[in-house]
Amino acid sequence: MTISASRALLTAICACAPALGATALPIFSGPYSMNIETLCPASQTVDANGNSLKLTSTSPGEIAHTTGTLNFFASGTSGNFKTSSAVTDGSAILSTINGKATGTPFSLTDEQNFGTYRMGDSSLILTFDKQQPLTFQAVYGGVDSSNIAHRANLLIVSDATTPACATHILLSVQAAGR
Amino acid sequence: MAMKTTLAGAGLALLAQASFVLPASAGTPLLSGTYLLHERMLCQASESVDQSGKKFQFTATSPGRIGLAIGTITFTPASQGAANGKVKALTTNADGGLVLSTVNGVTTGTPMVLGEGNKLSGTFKIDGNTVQIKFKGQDAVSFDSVFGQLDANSIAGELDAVAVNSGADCSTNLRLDRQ
Repeated sequence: MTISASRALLTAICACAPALGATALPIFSGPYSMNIETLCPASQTVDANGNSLKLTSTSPGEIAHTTGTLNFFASGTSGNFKTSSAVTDGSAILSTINGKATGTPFSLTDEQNFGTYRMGDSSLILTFDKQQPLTFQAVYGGVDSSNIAHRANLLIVSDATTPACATHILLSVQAAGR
Repeated sequence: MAMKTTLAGAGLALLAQASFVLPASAGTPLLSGTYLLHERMLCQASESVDQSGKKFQFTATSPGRIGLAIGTITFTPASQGAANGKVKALTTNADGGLVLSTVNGVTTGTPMVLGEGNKLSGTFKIDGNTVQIKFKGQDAVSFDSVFGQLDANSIAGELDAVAVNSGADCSTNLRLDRQ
């Protein structure tokens, strides 16, 4: 292939590039209702030797539910966000062994947080203030003519704790008619 | 009496008219096309402690299961307006045991892991408010369902559903939103 032929090919490819816009990555914009569930397994060790049985709760596990709003301030695939939510959080198993209690009952708190986000084809990275980035697997839906995704389902397994926890998020656009 | 007859006649005429203008959405809700999927399955853990004389035995019978999934699921009716047909899903799953027990050094249950690109295919059937989904290699699951956002062809835009498996140790919650 000659150089001019290569240039012609490149020109042809460049001319086709705008067509890729039709399959551009969806974006987030504005406020979304947010529902989060975090589930962490409980773990225990048992030593049973003859006449003794020793049970140790190594982790009480965790069950947390969050409902609130997540507001994306940019209209693009990256930018800043703010969350405002109510959170229930408690242990999966409450154990009392020889009078020593492990685990915590459920509590309800209100939280606000903020951070940055970056969208990928099948991922969403959320970085909350002063925390490590969290990379969620993502599927987007309800994409409108402005390429704004009205819904997103997210999933992550985090090994920040032992045992690892799974978190599931549902986002749904709040504004009427969008 | 004449008035009653007239009213009855008018009522019948109104009903007859109404039957012609009933929108398709008044029919049985259907599933068709691709939906965003959000599923949670929780299976109970079980364990037993037996005492024989002064000797204790602890058995971790089942670690239970936490199963979370996101992805897409596509319903292809057998024919236009059919309440049954084929179904395909592409999911990302988080799976692991609910209670991890280490008994005398032997661990029961697996930690949570993420699995991507899981492909499933099978069949579905809708009967009233029950949606039965049978993926190949799996037991059929019958979901008690609520349909939402029906369009003019009675195709649901949303589905919320719950199910208990045949072994009665797992509860599943399913949410679908039209993509």
